[in-house]
Amino acid sequence: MNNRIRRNKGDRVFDGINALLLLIVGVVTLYPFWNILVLSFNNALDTLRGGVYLWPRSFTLDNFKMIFDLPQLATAFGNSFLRTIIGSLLSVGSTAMLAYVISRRDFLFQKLLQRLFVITMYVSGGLIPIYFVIKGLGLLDNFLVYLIPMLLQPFYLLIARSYMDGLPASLQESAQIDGANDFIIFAKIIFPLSMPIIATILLFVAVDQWNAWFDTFIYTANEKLTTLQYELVKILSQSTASVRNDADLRSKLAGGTGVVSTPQSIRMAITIVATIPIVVVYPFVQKYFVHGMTLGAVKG
Amino acid sequence: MPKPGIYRKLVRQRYLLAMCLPFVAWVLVFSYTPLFGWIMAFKDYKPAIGILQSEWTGFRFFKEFLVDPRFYEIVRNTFVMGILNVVFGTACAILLALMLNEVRNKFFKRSIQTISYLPHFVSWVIVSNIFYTVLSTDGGVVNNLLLWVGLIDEPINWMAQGKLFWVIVTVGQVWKEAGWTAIIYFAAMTSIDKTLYEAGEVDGLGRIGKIRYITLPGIMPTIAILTVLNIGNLFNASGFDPSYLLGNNMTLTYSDNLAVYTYRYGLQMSRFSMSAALGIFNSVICLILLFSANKLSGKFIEGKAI
Repeated sequence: MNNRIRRNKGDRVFDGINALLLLIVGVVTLYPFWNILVLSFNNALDTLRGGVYLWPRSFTLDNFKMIFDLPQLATAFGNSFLRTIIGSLLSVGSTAMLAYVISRRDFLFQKLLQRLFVITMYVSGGLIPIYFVIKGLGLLDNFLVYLIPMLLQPFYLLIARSYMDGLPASLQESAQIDGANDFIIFAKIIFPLSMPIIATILLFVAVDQWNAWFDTFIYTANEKLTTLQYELVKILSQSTASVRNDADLRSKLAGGTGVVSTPQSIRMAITIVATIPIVVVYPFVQKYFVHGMTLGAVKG
Repeated sequence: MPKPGIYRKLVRQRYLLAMCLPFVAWVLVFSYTPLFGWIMAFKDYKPAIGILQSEWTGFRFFKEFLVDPRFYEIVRNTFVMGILNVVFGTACAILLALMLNEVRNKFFKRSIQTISYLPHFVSWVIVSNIFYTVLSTDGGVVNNLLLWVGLIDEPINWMAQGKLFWVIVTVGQVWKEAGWTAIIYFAAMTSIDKTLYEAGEVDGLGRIGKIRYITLPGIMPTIAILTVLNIGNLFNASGFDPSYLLGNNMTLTYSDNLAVYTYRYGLQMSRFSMSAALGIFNSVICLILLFSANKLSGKFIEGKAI
């Protein structure tokens, strides 16, 4: 805002209260993450005594050692990582290419094509019919089930198309005159020019992939295909279903190796491992997705 | 009348055609084929004999869930949680955007914005873990804070109270999404004409006055559009993840929504036809809401909503 605004006392009180409230919003948003982080680095048995809030009382790396020793968690981490990388690259490439075709108003089937995808935003076959299609295609217990069904999302298509609509038409026209075919125009001109929106969609689909657990839950039974989020769901439902079970697990976990942990503390450590990649990546792409989000809202 | 130009145009656009065909095949397989699965709602589907051989049942499964008292509980939960989510989600997002809009210090504003988006990017799995942790009865930070302040005498088992579930899930939704939704309102605020504020100042408007008479009216079109979209999405707004992950055996009466119920019938009890019937019910309600919302938007908003 401009500096010419005269700031009287009421103004300053207003600003003060506003800043204080926003500070509270910030703390309420961040503190739960901090709490989990602190607990994940605190000795598991000490955590059971309660009262660990701001700093680990008895610092240890045992909880993390424990989760990296559990074989299914290493597999889970690998699968989550793989599906995020491969899945998001596939999705973003496909989304960009299809969005380009839909952005070409002179294309014979442009209207039909756009409708075909927009309708799917509103009508869905539902859980069971989709399950049987996936089953019929032989995608159950198959890594491809993480990549193919999530390939395209109409919302991302629409924001990509909106962005491409805004690119100068003259670039395409001159390339057409030079005899470039439509694929070359897309790959050499439109794709590079659309980088801001492609970065945004890449972030969105990467987050979708990293956070997905339901597909692991219903489409896979093979432990080799488990994902990090799904392991977290399993631990969460164990600890909510029966608190008494904890005692069993606790004694199992504490025995033998000298590494001490509890299901609760392991839960904290996995939560941190599942959160860190997002916290690390997203501030860097922030300027892109804010733009993408507003673009999608206005034109979507 | 056949148009001679079409064939030539098609040849000229063969690259475009080739670029979209794989995805057309994809959408037909993954989004349109399942629609044929709706037939199983009208049949007693047995996977062993296949969908075609299964016996026709007409509306039997629809009748079955329509007379089930549990079904009305589910519909109630779906609507109530959807409405709470939309109302509080929108109100908190607007409030947050208004507050951010009043901040003059760029660094402070940027920092709070960055923090407020963060929960949007973590999964409900993580959010549920966080909620179970901070609300826990042994050493959870919320209980201990309330004990310390003296508001309660003994820890409350938040996650085991059916009646509190709607509050908890709404707080969760707001905590997770308010910052993200605020982006749109904030963007709408920054596009308000600055001279309006100067004129308002000349007319003697204070800070609150400017919010009341300039900022809020300025973002009204955005609020209207998003409200219409939200109404269209009301039945899906509560989502599968929050209800399934935050809910537990003690909150079922309040936490199960239609998405979770469909899952329980379909994949837990293997009652495929019943689950498909519930899926159709869900789609029909959603379409009704969507069309009503579109009608509304035609009345209240000039231009188009979708």
